[in-house]
Amino acid sequence: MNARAPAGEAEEPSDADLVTRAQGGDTGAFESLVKRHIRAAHAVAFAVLAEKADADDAAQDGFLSALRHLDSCAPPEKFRAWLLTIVRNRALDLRRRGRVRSVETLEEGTAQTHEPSPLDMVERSELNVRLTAAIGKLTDTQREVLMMHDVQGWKHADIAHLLGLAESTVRVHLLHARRKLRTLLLAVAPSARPDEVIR
Amino acid sequence: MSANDENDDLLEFPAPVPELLDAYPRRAGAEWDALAAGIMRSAAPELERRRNERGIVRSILHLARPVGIASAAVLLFGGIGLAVTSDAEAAVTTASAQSAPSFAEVVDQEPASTLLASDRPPSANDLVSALERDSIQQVQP
Repeated sequence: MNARAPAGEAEEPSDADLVTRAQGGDTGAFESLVKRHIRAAHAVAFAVLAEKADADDAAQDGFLSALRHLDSCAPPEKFRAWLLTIVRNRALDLRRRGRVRSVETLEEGTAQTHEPSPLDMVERSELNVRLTAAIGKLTDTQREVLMMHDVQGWKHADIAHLLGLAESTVRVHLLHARRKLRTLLLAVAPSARPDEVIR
Repeated sequence: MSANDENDDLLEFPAPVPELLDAYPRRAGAEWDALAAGIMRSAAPELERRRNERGIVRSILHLARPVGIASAAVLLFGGIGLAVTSDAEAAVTTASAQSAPSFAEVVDQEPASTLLASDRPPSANDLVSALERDSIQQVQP
């Protein structure tokens, strides 16, 4: 999780500059902030909600809330962490209020690296259903840590910073999440060999 | 062990579930742009409000600038004037203190010396004559 512009793009304005300009209503500056951080914001929302469209809503609400309260973003160079906290709180709020859409399989939006055969599609669909159900049985923190680390490739330190936890605590949550997920996947597919369910 | 953290194996971590990697919906760049555009459409009123607010503040500051400069000038010159006046008063006070005679000088002069030599308390006539003499001395250059 890097709050600065990628290397080689040093001429790009910093988050602090963009925040200062956006505070004055500069549309271009706010658009740059949105484009720079939308993937991270969506990833955080998805880690909580595990649903693409809900994550879209939470990310959008988070950006709008951040804009309304932009004057309280201090120091402005911490915009990214501040924004992601807002988005996460918004996602948690949506989840608590039960406004999430009905649970769908993870098949929708799944990356496909090759054209699957019909048999592949059936197996994948069944696995996705089981996976979705198993993820739903994790605790909120376990699910967030698991999704951020194993799905989105965040580092323990970044997750710890966002969730306000110690890095060691994040590792423990990840450990329990993985074990629980494997156990749940095995439990719902007792006839299958473990390596068929979890490669 | 995952690629993003190297020390997971120290806690005997189970490997990540591979299918999870497919769980996060991948988007093309155009889809992200569409999501960003939706956010910008919703943000437009707030951005406009901020622009207007900033414009009002700027106008007030623009109008207030001459008044501020004038106030600062008044305060500056007032302060300088006050300082000069205080210095002058202090100089006068010092000069008066330097010109006042000491107690020894006073008792050496008439009529105090005469009264001390005669060893009697001063009468009303002595006081009147002393005051008259003192006033005549102040008038003379």
